[in-house]
Amino acid sequence: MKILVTVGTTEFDWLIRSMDMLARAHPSWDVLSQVGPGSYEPRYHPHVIFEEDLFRRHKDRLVVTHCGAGTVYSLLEEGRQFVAVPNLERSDKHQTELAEYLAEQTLALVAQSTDELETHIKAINDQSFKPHPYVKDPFFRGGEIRRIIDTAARGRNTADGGESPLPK
Amino acid sequence: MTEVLVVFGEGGHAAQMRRLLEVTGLSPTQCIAIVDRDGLSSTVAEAEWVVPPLREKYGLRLASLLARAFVLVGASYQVLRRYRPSAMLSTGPGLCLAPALLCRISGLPVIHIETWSRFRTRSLSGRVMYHLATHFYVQNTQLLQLYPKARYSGRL
Repeated sequence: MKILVTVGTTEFDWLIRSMDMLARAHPSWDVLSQVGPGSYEPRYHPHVIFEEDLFRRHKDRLVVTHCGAGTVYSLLEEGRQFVAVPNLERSDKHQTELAEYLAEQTLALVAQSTDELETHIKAINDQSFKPHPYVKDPFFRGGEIRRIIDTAARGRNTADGGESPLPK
Repeated sequence: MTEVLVVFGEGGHAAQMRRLLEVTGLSPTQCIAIVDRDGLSSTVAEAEWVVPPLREKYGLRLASLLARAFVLVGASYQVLRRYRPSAMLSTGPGLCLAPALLCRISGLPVIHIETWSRFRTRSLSGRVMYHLATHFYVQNTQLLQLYPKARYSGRL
């Protein structure tokens, strides 16, 4: 089984450490971690700091990812299954809200312990986990926002000749 | 001609701003950016002003926060005077508050999109921008309960 672990652009040593323990316990697992600025260096599996097009280059790997919204939404839009792990080492805890949303809507498996990581990885691998399909409600205010801006720009140009209203 | 001041921080906020500029069809020549890391706006704005991030990812110290806020107010003032944008667009986080205040004082529309990672709590910048912005959008319907006057926009 091939696994790709990613932590994005913030440190998440706990996840890398846990996956290192699992890699050691499962020699048949082929694990690759993207560790970002983290300080823990895995001993039982290879890692990279950062890689361009990480997901595209490793299409055949099962994804274990920090719960960063950008990554999570991209994976959901792609229809690619993954295990999400909220990063609780950060000072702002909003990864937990997205993790809860994923669990509530059965969109992905969420792991918060090494045991859960192991169980969920196996569940995705043997296809016993059946996620709900993700239906994105795409952003639809683009035109409206553009009109607000264009109207403001036109008003600016005619009304005051482009003079700044701020004191000089 | 620079029409829009775009303000955003790194990470998810930057990813959302990029998507937002795509869907609004604004080109880099129309945008001037205030960001909290070098090069963050390189593909979406013709110039950028870099300010230190207000909040470090692993803590929050008051003295350093105040110093950075001061720098931010100064930078915002200079950007508005030099580039004279007609509107402001932001996706957070906290660095958008000072530019938003100055833009409102100047009578400009301030458009804010609350982050896609919030479902049941309000971000600090969201809480303030809800009152400061002229147009406030949320990407998750659950947030309409916390921001009753917000407009739902769908997800970037």
